[in-house]
Parts: sequence; C-alpha cells; structure tokens
Amino acid sequence: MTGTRDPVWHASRLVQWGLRPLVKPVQEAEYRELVERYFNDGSFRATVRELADGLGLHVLDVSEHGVVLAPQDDSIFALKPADFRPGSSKVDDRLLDGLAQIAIAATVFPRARDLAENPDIMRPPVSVDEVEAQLRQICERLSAEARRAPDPNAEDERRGLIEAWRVYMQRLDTLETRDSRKAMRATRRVIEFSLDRLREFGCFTQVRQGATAAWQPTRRYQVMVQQLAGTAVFQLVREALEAPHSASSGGA
Amino acid sequence: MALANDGGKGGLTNPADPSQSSFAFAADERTDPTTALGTDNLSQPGSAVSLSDGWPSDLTRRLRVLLHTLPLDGLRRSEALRDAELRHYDSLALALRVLDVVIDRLGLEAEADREVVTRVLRPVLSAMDEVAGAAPSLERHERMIDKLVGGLRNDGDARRPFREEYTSVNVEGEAERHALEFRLLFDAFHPSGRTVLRPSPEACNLYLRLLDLDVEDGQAAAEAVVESQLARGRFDEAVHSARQARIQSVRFRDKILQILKDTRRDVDRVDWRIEVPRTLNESLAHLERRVTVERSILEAADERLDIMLDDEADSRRAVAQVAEITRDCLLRHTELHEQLIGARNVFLDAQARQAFAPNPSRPLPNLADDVLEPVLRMSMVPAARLVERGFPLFVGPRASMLVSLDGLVTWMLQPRRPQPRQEIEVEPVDAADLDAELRRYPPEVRAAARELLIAAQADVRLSELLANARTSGAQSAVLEVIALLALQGFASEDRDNGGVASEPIAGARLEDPLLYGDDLLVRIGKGAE
Repeated sequence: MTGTRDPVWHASRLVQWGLRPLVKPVQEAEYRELVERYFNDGSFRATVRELADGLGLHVLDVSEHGVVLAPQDDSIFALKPADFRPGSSKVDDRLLDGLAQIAIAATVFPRARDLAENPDIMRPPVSVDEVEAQLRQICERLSAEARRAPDPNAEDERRGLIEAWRVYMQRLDTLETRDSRKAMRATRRVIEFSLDRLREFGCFTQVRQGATAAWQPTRRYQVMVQQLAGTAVFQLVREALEAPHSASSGGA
Repeated sequence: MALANDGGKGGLTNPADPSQSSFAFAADERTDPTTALGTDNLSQPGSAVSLSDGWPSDLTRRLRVLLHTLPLDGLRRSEALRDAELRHYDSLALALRVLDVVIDRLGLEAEADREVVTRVLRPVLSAMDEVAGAAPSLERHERMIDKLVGGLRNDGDARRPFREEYTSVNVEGEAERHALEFRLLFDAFHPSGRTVLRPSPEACNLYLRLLDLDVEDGQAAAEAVVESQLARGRFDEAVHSARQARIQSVRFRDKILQILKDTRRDVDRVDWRIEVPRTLNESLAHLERRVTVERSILEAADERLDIMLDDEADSRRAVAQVAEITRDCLLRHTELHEQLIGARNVFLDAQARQAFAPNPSRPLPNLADDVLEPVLRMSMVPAARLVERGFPLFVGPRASMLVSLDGLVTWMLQPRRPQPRQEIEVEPVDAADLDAELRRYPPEVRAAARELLIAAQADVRLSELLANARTSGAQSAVLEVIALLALQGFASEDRDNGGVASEPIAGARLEDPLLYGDDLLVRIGKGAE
C-alpha cells in the first residue's frame, strides 16, 4: 500500500516518527523500514533532511535506535520554559528551569571531552543530589566572592539586575521556613521536576541505585546534548559575554 | 550558532580527540609527527643522527597497540590485592573469555548482556574452582564477574576511558610524553531498549587481530567482525555485521560530504592550513585500507560459496548476502575515493582563491565552567533570555498541537468531572511497583513493622497503630513502613498487598507527627503473617 506513495510522503513519515520520542524502530515495522531506507537510498536521505529543515528541525542522528531531531532557533517545535512548567509565567521560574537543564547536562557530561564520546556508550546515571550540588557549589562560590560587595538594592532587584546565582540562592532562602533541609528540598524539587519532564520527552529513564532514585540518560538525550545543545549553549554564552551591554544593563 | 550535522565532533572541529573512535582517522598519525616526517629527515643534510634509526616511526604505532593490553594486565595484577577467595581465578583468561563472548555476539539480536556473560563464564569459573579444590559458588562467581566486567569497563574511574601514558621520540630527537585514551568494554543502548555490553573498536581489533595496527578504527573493527564471523561459520550474524559495517560506511561518507559542504559554506569553520589537507589524506588512506579488506571479505565469501553444499541453502543465502552488502560498501568507497580526489582540487583551488585566517578549531565546552558558571554570573534578565534560547535544545522537539474540531466537540459534550481541590502538589510516582517502595527500608525495619501489624487486633485505626508502635519504642522508619503498608492496602481488591486492607473512616482525621489526613481502618488478614 505504502509502496506506491511518493518518496516525500515516506520522508515525512520518518520525520513524524522522529517527533515521537518514546517510539523505537524495533516496535514499529514501518519506522524500521524507513530507517533502513534512509541508509540505503541517498536521495531519500536528502529528502528527509530537506523536509526536516523546512519544518525547522535539525536531523541530529538516524540509527536503528530511531531518529533524533532538534528544533532550530524559533522553530514551532521548540519547547520554551514557559510551556515546560505550565501555569507559571515568572521570569525566575523560567530561569531556574533553564539553569536546571544546564546543570543536568553538566552532571551527565562533567568533562569537555565527554561531549565527543560515542553516544552509544551509556553515561552513568545521575541523581538529583548530584545535580543540586553542582549548581549550589557554583552559587556558593559566587556568593563568597561577592561578600565584600554591597548587597543589591531593591530597585535593582525589581528591574531584574541581580545576578542569576542570587535568584537561586534566594530560592534557597525564601523557602527556608523551618529547617535547612526543607530549603534544599525546594531546589531539589526544581531539578526533580526537570528530570521527570525530561523522562516524558524520552530523555531519561528512572533507575534505582542502591536505595536512592537515579536518572539514566537515554541515547536520545546523549545525542542531543553531545551533538548540538552543549556547543550551541556555549556559543550563546560566548555571544552574550562578547556583548557586554546586554549582560550589564539587564537587557533593558 | 554552530550547528554541524555531525555535531561538531568531526575531525575538523575537534582534532585532538583521542577517545572518539568510530571515525578516528588513525589518530596516531596526528600525535606522532615522526610518522610523516621520519623518512624525509634522512635526506636533510643538517640532521646529525638518523632519526629513523633512533626511533623508527613504526615503533610508536606498535607501542600504542601494546598499551591497549595494559588494562588486562592491570586486572591480573589486581588479583594479588583481591580477597583470598577469588585469588585462584585467572582474570586474564577470564577477561579474554568475556571479550570473546561480547565480540562473538556483536550484531546478534541477543547481543551479550550481563546475564549472557554470567552464563558463559560460570562453567569456566567452576573449572577453575575444581583445580583449586574449591566448591563452586554462585555468589562468588557473581562477585568475580562483577570485578571482571567492572575492570574492563573501568568502573574504578567512573567508567571513563582508560588512560595510559607513554613516551615517544619526536623529530628533534626529544623524548615526549603522551597519553592514550581508549575503552575496552562499555554499557551500550540496544535498539530494543535493553542495556548490553559492547566491546570498543579497540577491543575488537585487539582481540581479533591481535597486534595488528590500526587499533582505533571503528570501520576496521566492524569489518574484522564480519571476517571473523564468516570464518566461524556464523553466517546470519555476519550478514548483520556486514550491515553494520555498511552503516558505518554510510556515516563515514556523510561525514566527509558534510565536511566538504561546510567548507564551501563557511570558510571560518575549517582549518585550511593543517586540518583539511590532513583529513583528506587520512580519509584517502582509510578508504584504501577499507577497499583492501572488503576485497578480502568478498574473496572469503566466494570461497565459502564454492565449498558449501547445496543442502546448506540458508547459509548459502546468508553468505551471498554478506557478499552483496560488502560489494555495496566497496562500490560506495570507490565512489567516495573519486570524490575525495576531486575534492582535493576543490580545496586547493579555494585555498588559492580565498584570503583566510586560520581559525583555531572550536573547543568543546566544559559545561559547568564554561556555561553554567558564566550564566549564573549574568544578571537575571539576560540569563533568563539565554536559557530560554538554549532550553529547547535540551528537551528536543515537541510536536505542536492543532485543534481537532471533531475532538473538541466530543470533549465539550462529555459530562463535567468534579475537580477535587488539591492543597498539596501531588508528586507523580510509579504506582505499579509497590515492592520498590518497601525495599527502600532495611529488612529488619520491615520485619519490625510486620510484627507490630500482626500483633494488632483484627480491625484497628491507623492512628492507633501508629500511636501504639510509637509507645513501644519503634523508630520512625518502622512507623513509615506501617503507614506505607496501610496505604498500599487501600482500595486494592485485586492486588496482593501482604494481607493488609484498609478503608477510610468517614470524618475521622489522622494527626500524627509523621503524617496527617483521613484516618484509615486497617484490617490485618492472614497474608500478613
């Protein structure tokens, strides 16, 4: 039946499979055949790439594990932090969710060269505590550095001129109602939420490591960070640092 | 933004990456200048000592091959430090057996995992037990296999690649220290979703073509596996491996073509002076080696077909398929070879035409130091803007939803369901796995909780149960287990929950220091005992 369809139809079928992160070729005969065709047929490959590009998607990887796509800048497929945490529109929530993403990736890939490894190799699982510690240690260091400087005034705070690490530390402080363990819980929840959502996107699975829960990155996540997200976010940082105005003026 | 389709981890953007193996162009040539220059030096009048005499260029390659065996040696040496119970096992022999089984199963549907390794190794371990006069024990065998697999996977160093240092002599006659990084065995994602043990290309080459050169080449490894499987008569697996080799060759081709495309598009992205000519040369050399091996696989396959009997129809078909796939690779490589030869001229022309400034290749970031920290230092608004742009890349594409009128009407017509007011955010849990919740508590705690439950009267309030347990001096972990069992027994007619059933008591509140909510009536049945 499908054999008579136009190659573009097949190519678009492959792209739509790529948009279902939880489905694997091993479960779907059609998906499997399309992946096979992608390898065997050069013009089909080109069609898939063009089609994806037109839709605003990068084809990061095609293998028997499936298709890994990534949204291009401003793609309709891009999931923004505001959609990630429904019901919250606050800048600091969006900032913390974004920081959690970077911290998770930094915990999965602690060294620069880890990003260049074969994505078929499973990275060891990470725990919420490890990610939290990663983030908090940097914040505490920056806080110690800033101890001599005067505290930011309320006006700065209102205009969003305080540094990102203060937002994280404030989240620790404001929720420090009874004991400090409670405060940790608040930032841990941000990270746990992120990992849990990533699981829905086929980026992590939950595993047990002794008595505690740990999160095993999937191949898909490894491909996404290694092939694109890691270097792309680094490039964004460089661009931001090279434009000192936007960094110091609070983007006003 | 750098958006290379090969992720910027190809030879151009990341030249000094020793760990990337699948398409490494014989990385030794990069770090070892003597390889390329050794012979030229002979004719230079200024050089007093003939360097090829002092340090023949081939020596570094051979040295590097030997280095790959050191982790195996390390396993053997660590025997001395291990507990006395395991000392009679020969870990080198066992490690080779592990490599043998994982390589043999490469490409099979039932690729080797921990279970397979255990099954294969147990008889060997038992044989070693017998010689040493020890009784075989599953527990001890498991422990030994853990050590072996952990050792081969480098668990001791967070499963990072092994790192072996060595010295070579450079063109100036100076000794230089180098470090070589490689893996032997790793946990890999299987398309079926299982975790399997897979050998690195280095391990395959080490095992299958011991002390041959080119240990780091992934494609060579794939083809060596095909050769080995043909020789062992495992034809169906050879077909699969040949397909894998073909996928590698497609990827290799795509990678080369991508480099060519990127170069034409963006001059800054490539290093014209050193990297591009080197990549081209290395790719050409690589292709020539591949073509040689593929010819030899074809020969072997044809020989096989000649001697095979007619009643081996399935095997004949498999071997014919291997030959066909290999011929396809050969064709692809020959074409690519031509393209590369052509490309060299393209590059040379472009190089002559364009004014360029050699651009240092873009380094990979350390995500904590180079990304997380600078972002945390930024002020809130630009930091939020930055993470918003980067964010979608970490979660992947999300399909946008379109309104379906049909679905909308159905949704609007369905009766409204009352929404319970929730004061506490409910955390999603995997409700199906009841035992996992309990296993978090040590056995003695669980036993204590059971005892207290059994001691209670047939029907008892949860609040009473907890209060009694507390007065009897139980720790709060025990109280938690009691509460957990009561909750697991709630509304669970069709579930086995250890003989504990519970139901709500209308209007009754439970206000315990540990937890509060509706009180439950707990019924302890026979199964609890």
